Amino acid sequence: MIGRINPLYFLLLILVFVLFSTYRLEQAKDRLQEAQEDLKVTEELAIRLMAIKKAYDSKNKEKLVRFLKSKQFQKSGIKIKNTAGSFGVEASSLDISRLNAILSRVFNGNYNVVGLRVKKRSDDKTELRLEIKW
Amino acid sequence: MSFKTHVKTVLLDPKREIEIDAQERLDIILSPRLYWVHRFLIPVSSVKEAKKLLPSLFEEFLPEGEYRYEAYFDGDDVIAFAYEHKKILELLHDKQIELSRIRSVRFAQNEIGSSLTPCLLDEEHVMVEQDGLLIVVPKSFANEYKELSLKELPLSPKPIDFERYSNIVDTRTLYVVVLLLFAFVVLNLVELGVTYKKTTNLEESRREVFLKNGLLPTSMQNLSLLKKYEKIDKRQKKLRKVIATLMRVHLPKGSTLESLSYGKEKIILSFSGVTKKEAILKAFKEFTLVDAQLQKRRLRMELAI
Repeated sequence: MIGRINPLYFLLLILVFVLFSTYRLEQAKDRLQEAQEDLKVTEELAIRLMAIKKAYDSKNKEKLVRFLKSKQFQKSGIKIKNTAGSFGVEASSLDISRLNAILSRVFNGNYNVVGLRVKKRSDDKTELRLEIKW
Repeated sequence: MSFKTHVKTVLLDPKREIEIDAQERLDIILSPRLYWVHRFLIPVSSVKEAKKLLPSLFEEFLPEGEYRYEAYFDGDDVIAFAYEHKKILELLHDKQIELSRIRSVRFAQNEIGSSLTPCLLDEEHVMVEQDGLLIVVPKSFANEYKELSLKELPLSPKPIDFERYSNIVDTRTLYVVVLLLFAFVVLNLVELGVTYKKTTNLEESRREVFLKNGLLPTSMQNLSLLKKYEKIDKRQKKLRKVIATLMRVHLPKGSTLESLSYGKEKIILSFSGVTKKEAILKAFKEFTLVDAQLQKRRLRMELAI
């Protein structure tokens, strides 16, 4: 029976398989390359996102609150407004040295300052309004 | 009306006319002119073994050509055949016999027994049996002969494994190529499996990165979040740079900073005691100046963040 079938038909059939399997293999290789790139991009994204999220983490707020409630600011009339997403500091008459201490702490840390107002009241007193968001 | 295909037995010979109907299928009997036959006594146990020896055994008898071989046992002897496949195909073509109509191909040696011989092959030749082999001789060699009638001839169970095609490349080479290509397909499939496995592992690793870092469900969401943070970071760095510049700037004598206000992507600085604004503006030249007004020795300067 086999002798009746021209081997050219087998050759054609196997050529179809060769083309099909090669095509599927190329597709799979493309997908693999895509998956490799996806993983690389995701890892880079995760590293960058985690680093920047950590830098602006809400844990920083607790450090700032502790600093503002420390002894040196006890009699400086600082009001702290603490909400879920933001944090406000207000002082109507603040010593220049204390103002410098607060601004130095805020600007040397990673705080998302969305509002700031400093106004000179006299030669050594200032008004401060500060708003930080998380 | 019958749908059963009629099968006719015909003798194929270069000098013999064949009459066939368009619908008929054919059992072809090759005349002794189309093959070489020889009786050998060789110590083999199977036809397969005998066939391997036939090219060398026939070598001294056959004129140059491309032969195929058949064999069967007759007692201890091997009846061996050699035929030129290509020439038979050409003859079939000349006689306008389509290959698809052929049911079987046989040697006259196996089909035309002693009861039918001597018989007329063409106008000048007859077929006779000599020492058990069917041969063609001139008509004058036979005293009497019969007309050959193949109608209702019982056929032997010995058809030839006759290839009904002719390729430029020989069959063995074609099968070798087919096998090599098959091996290539197998390798492709193995590599395909390995590639799928690697892809699945990478996708799994990617899912783990999402879980481990508590990322949002899609990359787009995470990218958008990153951009939001980067925008904040960029603005905060710029704000700090303005503040740093403000801290180290040497204000002209008599000038003081009255107020600083930041919000909605801009920073407003107010100075008092200013006579010439250029000195202060120069210190902030690396920032985008939106507005600068000097009125009654008060400088109001607006920078974009």
